Formats: sequence, C-alpha cells, structure tokens
Amino acid sequence: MGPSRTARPIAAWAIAAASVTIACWATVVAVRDGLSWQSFARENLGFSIVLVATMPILGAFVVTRHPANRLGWVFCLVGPLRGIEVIADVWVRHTYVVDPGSWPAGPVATWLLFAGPLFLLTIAPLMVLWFPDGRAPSARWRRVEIAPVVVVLLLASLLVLCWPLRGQRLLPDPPVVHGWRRAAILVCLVASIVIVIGALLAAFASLISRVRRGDAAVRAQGKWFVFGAAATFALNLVGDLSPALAPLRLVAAIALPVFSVVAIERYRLWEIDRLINRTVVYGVLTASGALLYACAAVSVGLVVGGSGASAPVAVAASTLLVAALFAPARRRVQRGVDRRFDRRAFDAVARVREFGDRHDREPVELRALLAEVLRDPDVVLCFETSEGGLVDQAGAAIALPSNDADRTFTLVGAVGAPISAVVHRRSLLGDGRLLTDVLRAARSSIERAHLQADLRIQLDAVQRSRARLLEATDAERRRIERDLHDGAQQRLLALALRLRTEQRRHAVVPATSTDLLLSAAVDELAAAVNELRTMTHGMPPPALSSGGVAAGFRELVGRHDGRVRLLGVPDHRHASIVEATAWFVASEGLANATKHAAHAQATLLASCEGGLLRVTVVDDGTGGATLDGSGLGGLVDRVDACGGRLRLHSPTDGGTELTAELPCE
Amino acid sequence: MRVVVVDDSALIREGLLRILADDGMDVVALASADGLDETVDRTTPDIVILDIRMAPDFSDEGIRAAHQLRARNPAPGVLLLSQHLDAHSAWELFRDDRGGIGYLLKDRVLDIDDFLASVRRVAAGGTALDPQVVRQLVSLTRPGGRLRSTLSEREREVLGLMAEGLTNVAIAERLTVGIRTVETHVNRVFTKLGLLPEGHEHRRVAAVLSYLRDAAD
Repeated sequence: MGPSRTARPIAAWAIAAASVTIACWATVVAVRDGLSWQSFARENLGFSIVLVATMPILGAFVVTRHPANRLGWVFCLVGPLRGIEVIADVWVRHTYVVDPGSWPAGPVATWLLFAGPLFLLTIAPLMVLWFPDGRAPSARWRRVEIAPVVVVLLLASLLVLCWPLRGQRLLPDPPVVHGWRRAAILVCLVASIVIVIGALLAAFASLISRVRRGDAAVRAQGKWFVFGAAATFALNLVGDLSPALAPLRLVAAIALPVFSVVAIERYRLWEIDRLINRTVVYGVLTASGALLYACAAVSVGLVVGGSGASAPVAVAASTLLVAALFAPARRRVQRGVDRRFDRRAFDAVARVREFGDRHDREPVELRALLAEVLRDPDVVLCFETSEGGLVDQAGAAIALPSNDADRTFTLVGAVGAPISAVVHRRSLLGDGRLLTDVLRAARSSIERAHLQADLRIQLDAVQRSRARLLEATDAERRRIERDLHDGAQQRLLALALRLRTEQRRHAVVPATSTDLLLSAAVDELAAAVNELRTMTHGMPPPALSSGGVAAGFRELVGRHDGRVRLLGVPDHRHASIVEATAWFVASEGLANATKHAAHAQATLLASCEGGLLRVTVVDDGTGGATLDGSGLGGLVDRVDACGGRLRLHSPTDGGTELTAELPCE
Repeated sequence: MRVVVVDDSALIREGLLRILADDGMDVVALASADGLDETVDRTTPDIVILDIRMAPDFSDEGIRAAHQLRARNPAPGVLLLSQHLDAHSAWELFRDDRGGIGYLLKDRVLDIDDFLASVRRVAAGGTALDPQVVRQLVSLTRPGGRLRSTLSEREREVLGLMAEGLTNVAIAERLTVGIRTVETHVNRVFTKLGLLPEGHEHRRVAAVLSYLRDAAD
C-alpha cells in the first residue's frame, strides 16, 4: 500500500497549491514584462496558465472524493508538467527579450520550454483510457498503459540527445544539431508522436467499448465526456472567429476536464440529456437566427436600396423578424430534437400530455398509462391525505417501499400542493430522463387524481357514517321489537289467560253478566296482543338476525296470506345492515303491492351474484307507483346508505317491479 | 296425563299450568330448557309444551329442545308455542311422519277447549298445526312444486283447516259455507294429492303434511 488515506489528498492539494503558486508567479512576471489581456487570451501562455491553475485543483478534488480513481492524479500531474513550461516561457521572455541577461540559466529555460509540452502528450491518452473510474475497461485495454511509459523513455532520451537545443526561436543564433544525433532525435520524436497518436486512438476505442458495454450510468458519463470534448472544440472554433471572442479559448481549455470531473462525481448525472438537448436546440436556433438575420438584412437593404440611411431600417426589420420567429421556431426545433434524441421519452411525454388535455378520461386510467409508458406494470400512485396518511387511488391505505432493492418512489407535487408519490422500479432512476420527463408532464394529472382520491375518501367516510346511523337504528328497532314481545305482549297474553281460566273455573249456565264481561275482556286482550304483533310487522323479525335473508323472507311471505310467492332465496349470510335493508325492501315492496293492488299476486325473489345481493318484488297490480311515497322513498335513502341502488319500474298500465341491488362482499 | 311446560315467562307458565291442572292433568313447569332432559327422565311425560323463544338468546331455544326430545325413545309428544309465525324453523320437526308434534301460536291458548284438544291429540301421537302456520308453510313452498300449482286458494284454505284437525262440519262453520261445498273441496284436494278420501282424522293431517313435504323437497 502507498501513503495513508489522509496523506494522499494532502499530497494532491499540495501539488494543486504549488501549481496555483506557479500560475500566479508567472502571471505577475508576465504582466510586469508587458503582457496584455489580448495576448494572454490568444497566446499559448494564457492557455497554459489557466490549465496550471485549474487542473490540479480538479485533480485534488477527485483524489479527495475518489481516492481509488487515478484520474485525479493525472489531473494533478498536469499542473507541474505544464507549470515547468509556463515558468520556462516567462523566464525565457524575461532573460532574452525584456531584460537580456538579467536572469541566469537561460539555456536551461529554453531547453525546458521545449520539453514541457512533449511530456504533457504522454498523459493525454490516460485521460481518455481511464475515464471515468481511473482504470482501463479491461485487461486487454490495459496494454495501452505501456504507451506513456515508452514515450516517457523516448522523450527522456530525446531531451538528453538534443541538449542544448533551444525550444523557442527567440535566440539570435539557435544551436543546430547535426549527424547521428539529429537522426536519433528525429527517430525518437517521430516514434513518440506515432505511439501517442496510436495510444490516443486506442484510448478512444476503449471509451467507446466501455460506453457500449456499460450501464445507463456509464453511458451518461460517456455523454458528459463527449459533450465536454465537443464544447472544447466549439469554443475554440468560436474563439478563433474574432479577437473579442478569444477568451472563449481559455474557457475551452478547461471545458473537458470540468465535464470529466462532473461525470466522475456523478453530479446531476442524468441532466446530461437535457443539457445536450438544450444545447442542440439553442445552437440550431442561434445558427439559423444568425443566418436569417444576415439574409434579411441583406434583402431589406437591397429592397430599400442604398446602404447608408437604410441600414438602421434593415437592422430593425431583421431583428423584428428574428424576434417574431423565435418562439414558434424554438417549439418546432425543440420537438424535432426531442423526437430525435429520445424517442421513447418523447412518445411517453406526448401520451401523458394528451391524457392531461382530455377531460373525459378517468384519473383511474392514469395509473395504467404511467405503468405502460414507464414500462413498469407495478407502478403505484399514492397520495398524502389531510390526516398525513398515504392512500392509493381507491382510497385504501398504503405504505411506501423502504430499502427495497427493486422498488423505490419519486415524490411529485409543487411546493404547497398536496404531495403525491409514484412507486416504481428502482432501475428507472438509471434510465435517463424518461422518469423525470414523464412525471413532469403528468404532474397536473396526478394532482387531479389526488383531489379525486381525497374526494373518494371523504365520500367513503360519509357513506360509513350513514351506514353506522342505519345500523344503530336497526339495533334500536330490534330492541323495541324484543321489548314488545317479551314485555307487553307476554303480559297481556298472560292476563287474558288468567281471566279465561277464572272464567272457566266459575262458569255457570246460563252465563252471568260477569261471565260475558270476562269474555269481552279476554277478546279485547287477544285483540291487543294481535295488534302488538302487527305493530312489529314493520320491523325485521328475529328470524332475520338468526337465519339471515332466507329466514326473514320466509317469515315475511308467511304474513301475506298466500298471495305472495317466494322464489329462490340464497342462504348466504351478509352484514346485518345489508340483511336488514334487503328485508325492508321486500317488506315495503310487498306492502306497496298489497296496498295498491288489492287482489294482485306478488312475487319476491332474491339472488346473490358477483358481490351483489339483488332483491326484486314484482306484482301484477295497477302499477303507477312512485318512489316519492313515504314507504318507498325511505327505501331509497336506506339502500343508498348501504351503497346500493334502488330501481322502480311501474308503468301506469299495470304491473310494478321494485329492484334493489346491495353490495354484499 | 303427565305434562311438562317450559316457558320463561312466569305469567304464561302459571296460566298454562292452571288450565292444564284444571283439566286434571299432571303438570310440571320449567322456566328454561336447561333441566328439561332430567325432568323428562324423571316424570316420563306424555307431552312437553315448549315456548320457542326463551332466555338466554331469545332465538330458537324451544326448537332445539324439541329436536332433542324427538331423538329420545320413547319420545314424548312435543307442542311448540310461539308468539311469532316462524314456521320454517320448525319445519324440520314435521318432516318425518311420526306424529306427536304440534305448532301453535300462543294466543290459541285463549280458546281453552281447542287448546286442550290439541294437547291431547299431540300427546296421543297426533299432529296439531296452527292454520296460520300451515298457510305460511304453504305459501313458502315453491310454486314450481308439482302439487302447489294444482290447488286453488280456497282449496289451500281448506287444507289449512284440515291440518288443524277440523272436521268437515267445523270447516264449513269456520268458512260459513255449506257442508257440501266443503266436502267437494276436501274431495278435490284428496284427488289432487292422490289420496283416497277416508274419514280418518290423522290421515287428513298426514295429507297436509305429505303435501308440504312433497313441496318442500
């Protein structure tokens, strides 16, 4: 093992500090020796100073954050290597041009000036080969690492051979090398260049192979690198256009290293697609805008005629034209670029947008749509309720996945808006911009679904409270029924029985007035008992709670003197509220049938299928019944409170059909 | 004749006890079905009169007790009394044709002579069915049944009175029609049920029961 873990970053930052010091010293000396901003921006020295000042800092940063990544050291190394060249450059200028002979070791400085750039070449292939993790992609590619070693050896021998050859042609009489040494130098130089070019090509090939075989993250890192290279190229190109743009070349010098470090650090790794996308869009826009501007200016100039006075008109007209076309052109170019760059994300976003624009779509379909476009059949939408819980679209409580290898979630929602979450497969996070783009496009739809879920929850709560009220009423009814049966009815009956017995015991012939009075009293009592029984007829019988709908219906039908037929009643048991409601529907329906259709035949039937208990009362009476009547009207509310549906079909030309459908899971 | 009365209402229990005792019967009264088995073992009654709905659950304690009594050998007659019309729950007891079983609404007791006759009939192995109970059973039977569709409403009414054990004369009185009319109805019922019109009382009830059994199967 090398130095300890803390020693490495310290060494790296020391190199960085030394490099920055060199850059500062060189800048100060160069400025004192008459360096202007223009020449700093355009000449090699400025470029080098920028590199010396920035590269080792980036390198030390990488060494600190990723100690195993050798690219950090490569970046650091650029500082001293380029630093030697910078020192030599400034030194040579001072001692040969500005103040001849003032500083010693002029020949050494010119010699170093020649050597620096050569050594820099040796590490260039490594910056590509080791990107982004500091290792060659495989053992096969590791052979490329030999190239820099060979080149260093070649360059070292070359430098020894060419001493005291001076690099810059600043000397009045540059020494010339002749004979075998010249040949050897040439061989070394050519060999080094060939090897470096070969190594660079191999390194790029390795990067391509790495990106091809790598996962989405490596692909994104590769894109950052390529973007950096393209940026360097483009900035250099633009920088050459005019002296005013020359500083762009300084930016170009560090573009590639900066983007490399972003890729290594994986900072906002997935934004690269958006960055490329936007760059292309605005690049295309700028180029076409400039072209249009030029064409328009020339055309207007030609039409108006002359140059001097009409020039402002041409400029104004062209500017207006470009400005007017900017927004539509931007949309068009953006769509084109979107489609070309990531067809899948583009299509997905288009579908989600279309969904959001159409108001006839049920938000329930949103989950299915997201599952389809995200290619994850198990996508779950969940919403935070006002109580702080999480529910799915149906309003059922749900938990977010935690520390799951496969599933994770992304939060959706603006600040202050209700928060929703989309649970999806973890791999979507590494799948470019598909997830972010789709969720961004789906945001309003998701918020709408959230509101709907809230509504559903509230509706459920109301429904439940209605059902509870109904259940309480039913329980109260049962209690009253029992009290009547076990209390009043029994007492009256017992009293009648007692009177009857006494009457019998003391019976005489012919009957006395007392006897007749007793008879009448017993009859009255019997009538009272009967009346009490009839009173309880509007209440569900005990048979309903003990034997369910089947027993309750049988009892009910028995009350109707054979004019009611009962067709197939399922024996299933249901929640007491459902059974009571079914009974009330039957009871009221039959009461209605016998009330309005004196001699009609009625049929009561019930079935239980697909989670629905269906109760139907049919009669062949006069028809024309409505749900407004107090009996049937009350039924509507009751059935509704159960979450069911009541239908009445009663044409005025006869016949009535009352059907209730009650959910009975 | 020995009788066991089971009813959780003290007043009713007392009333029944008086009626039966006044008629010269040997009566033991119980407040619940709990000690029934033991009492039956001890007293070997001819008939047990059971209230259907009793403490503690107020559902069908009497019917469960009746099933246990019917499983005994020899089985005493069982007469069920109910404040409510819930014939279906008692129907199982009538499915076999062993007799010695009855089901009456409680207020029938007020017609003491009829009630005592029913008690004796059941004790002797006969059957007593409340007309309302029969009506309920008849209306509950499926219309697709082979026999039900063949009887008219009047015939069903007559059948109910027959099940109660009334003679043709009594039926004529009850329906305030002529005896000839009743005989016609009864004969037609028997014909439709495929039974010979004999005058035997039990056979008349059996006719009703066999009709109900047929339809309920």
